[in-house]
Amino acid sequence: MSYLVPVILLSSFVLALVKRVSFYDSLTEGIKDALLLTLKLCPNLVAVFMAISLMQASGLSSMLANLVSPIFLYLGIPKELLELIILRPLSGSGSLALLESIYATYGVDSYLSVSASIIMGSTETIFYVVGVYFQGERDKKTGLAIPITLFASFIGVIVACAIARIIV
Amino acid sequence: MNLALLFIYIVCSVMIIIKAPDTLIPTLLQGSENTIKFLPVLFGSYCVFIPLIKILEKSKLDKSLAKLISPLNKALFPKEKKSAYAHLSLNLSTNLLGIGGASTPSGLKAMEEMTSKKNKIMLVVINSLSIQIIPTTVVAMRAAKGSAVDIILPSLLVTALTTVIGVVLVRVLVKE
Repeated sequence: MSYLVPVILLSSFVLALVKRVSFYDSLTEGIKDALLLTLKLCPNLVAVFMAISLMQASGLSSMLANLVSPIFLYLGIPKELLELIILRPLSGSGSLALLESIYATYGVDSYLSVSASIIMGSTETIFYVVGVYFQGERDKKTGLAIPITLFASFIGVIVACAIARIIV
Repeated sequence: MNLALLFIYIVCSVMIIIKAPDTLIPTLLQGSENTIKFLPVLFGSYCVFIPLIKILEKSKLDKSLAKLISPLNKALFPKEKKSAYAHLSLNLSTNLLGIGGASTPSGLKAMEEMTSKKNKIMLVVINSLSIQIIPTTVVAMRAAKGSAVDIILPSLLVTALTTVIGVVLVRVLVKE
């Protein structure tokens, strides 16, 4: 499996050669976008990193975790992932900040971090996507779109934690 | 998001002031310090994968993939105009390749062209269930920390599962 991403990267370089795509331009344009995107996300990241820091220092984080732990225990979800599960559908940059702090606290290959990674890699900022797609619609009623995606994603969270338990 | 964040800031500040007022400002500073530590990883990950996406776009790989998956689209979104299917195929293929920036415009055009409300909800549900093949940012963040455990295959499995659940639920529960 460790070959997968490197091989995909190499394939894209070969693809540039075969399809005669200007490689240097692709690199510099991409890196320019990367720079702008990082700068654009920076204020959101600080706001959320500060919130994470506040929640940990004040003890609110562990209070909330203890509150849901009986239900989460039943479903096989670690209570430490509560914040990520709440924040993930709301904010992409915010959940990245949380993921980073989970890695820093528990180690990247721990059960918690692997579960969090799978959750992050297999879910979306649902409220953002639904908002954008219904923006131009005359009929703004999103109907069952949000309940269905939230439900499906939550099943995904349970399965992600179960898979993480097998592979770690 | 606005209210939730405000709630967290107020409740936590009160709790900290009761416990140890001197630690409030250092706690906030810790947040910005953590951001600065995290930025190189984020920037690095974007620098690797955004150029890759540029190459995929320029070599029209998304268009070839769109042709491949067009039969699937006719099954997922029945009875729509031909022009809607072109946008739908592009939306789905750019989503799979992780070209988020390119999938939104085609998705919005498909929303305009489609007439069935049920199909519109189907499109939004599929787009909200993150159907990309490789979660690039997470992969890069883990690689930066020297991770040995692969999460690509598990993520793909979970995404496939949630997408199937979403599609089935839209089919069964949403009325025309």
